[in-house]
Amino acid sequence: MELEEIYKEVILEHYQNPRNYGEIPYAHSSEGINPLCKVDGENPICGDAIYIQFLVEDDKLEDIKFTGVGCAISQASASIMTELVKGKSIEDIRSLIIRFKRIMEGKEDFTEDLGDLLAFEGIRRLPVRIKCVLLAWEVLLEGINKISKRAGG
Amino acid sequence: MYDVYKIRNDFPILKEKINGKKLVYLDNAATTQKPLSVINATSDYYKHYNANVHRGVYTLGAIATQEYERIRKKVADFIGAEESSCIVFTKGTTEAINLVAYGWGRKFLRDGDEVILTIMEHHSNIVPWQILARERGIKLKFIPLRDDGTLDMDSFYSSISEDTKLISITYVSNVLGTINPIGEIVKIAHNIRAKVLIDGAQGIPSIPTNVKNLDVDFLAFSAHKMLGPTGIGILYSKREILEEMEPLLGGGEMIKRVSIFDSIWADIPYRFEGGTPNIAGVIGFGEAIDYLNNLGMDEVFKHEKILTAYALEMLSSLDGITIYGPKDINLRSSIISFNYKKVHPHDVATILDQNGIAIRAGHHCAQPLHDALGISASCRVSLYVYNTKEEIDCLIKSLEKVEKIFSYGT
Repeated sequence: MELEEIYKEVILEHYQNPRNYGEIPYAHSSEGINPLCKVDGENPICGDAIYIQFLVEDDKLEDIKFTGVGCAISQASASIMTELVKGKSIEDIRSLIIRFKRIMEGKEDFTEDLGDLLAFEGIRRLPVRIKCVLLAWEVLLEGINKISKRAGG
Repeated sequence: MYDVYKIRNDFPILKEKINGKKLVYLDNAATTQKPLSVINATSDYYKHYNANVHRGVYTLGAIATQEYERIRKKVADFIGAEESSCIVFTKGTTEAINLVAYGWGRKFLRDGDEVILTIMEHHSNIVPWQILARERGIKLKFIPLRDDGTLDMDSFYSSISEDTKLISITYVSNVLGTINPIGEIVKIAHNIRAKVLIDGAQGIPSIPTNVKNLDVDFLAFSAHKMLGPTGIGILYSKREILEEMEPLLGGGEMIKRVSIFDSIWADIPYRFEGGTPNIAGVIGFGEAIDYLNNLGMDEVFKHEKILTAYALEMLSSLDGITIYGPKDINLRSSIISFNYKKVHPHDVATILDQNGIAIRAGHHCAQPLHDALGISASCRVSLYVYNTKEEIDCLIKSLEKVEKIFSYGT
């Protein structure tokens, strides 16, 4: 495999200029509105970390920010993810995460509608790096599960 | 005369192609490759004399037992131990250290006793003591490093006290390559009647060592980091210490007599080898020791020194590289960790892998050390008997590719 298939320009570009990087400044929490959700994830094998903050109102992800330390792949994946999920409904986000996980695990194929995520196609052939791609997605999934539980309870 | 190219012919895996490129294996601190003689010895055991040890009265069982015990003697000779009863086979260094923590520590350490460790320890020489600290209320102290990556001996001197019962320290840092002054530490420890455990996983494969001269109380190391099979480790200790220790695993082979409510432990070292051991692994390890003895450990040490000096020189010449650990070649072994151009170690390792080069990237099971260095991860190159200067040139060339890819957009 050529290195260019792994380190695509999209990945390097997101790595160098991550979108939605930082923290949400307005950590307000009023009655009846789900407050800011913070969720962290670490990969114990490599020590890579992703910290996500997001805000949900009326079942819609209004805002999301992330910080983290890790390889180009994990950080670019987090950046691309935040762009894709911002403004979407929680259920749509959940299905996107589950679908993208299945795709990275080789259970489904990439489709053109995935946009920047197509950049990760080459990494599917590097089993040890798949978890780098998925780290942010696992963290966000954990976060929205928390929100759902909170709403349900 | 040390002929590395001839040596390479003994290692079948070095002819493998990885991602279409010749394998350049530079992760020897994780595990080393195996010469054909070791591979053959393991399969010969299964082909010709497979039987359980210390049990059967039949000939096959006797042959297996004889071979197994012959290798125990070989291990004892390799490290200069006084007798083969002082050699306990475990499944690795980790189990050997745990055996000391539970078999010795649990029996002799009390609330308020101190165990001294260093910040450069592998997790396997930290976590067992943390478990014991929770259980027994012992206190752990960590010796920090000096700026050059060597142990801060001033801090060591001020940390020891009459409560210090054990100093458990790595021979060679698995990240920095720092060789610790074991002789000096043992002397100080024995002055205050503390015991010393050496985690020899990274030291025994490279440094000619004599436990009797060093007077260490415990030494733990692994076969697979010195050309032998995985799943075999060694705990060496002095007879009088082993005699006092409790077993870690209860079961077959480790008893003299079992009645329904009580049992009498077997003699050392069998007391610590409950269950059927990794016989094939031990047999293979014997062959690995023969291989190293044939090369001569002094020659192995010298080869690594020359190669490490070359690797350090070549790596230092790169722009934007940070190399960790001592600059003085006499203070370090053939393990070199670095960070390059602010590129994450995983990305470096992936790019090198596409050129067939295997290096380690991450925290190398030494997170406290990485915390102390203020980094989350590093790249690690570790050299052994079959590595060559050409392979280091190949590494340097491939690192240039890392720079090319990550200079995107700048």
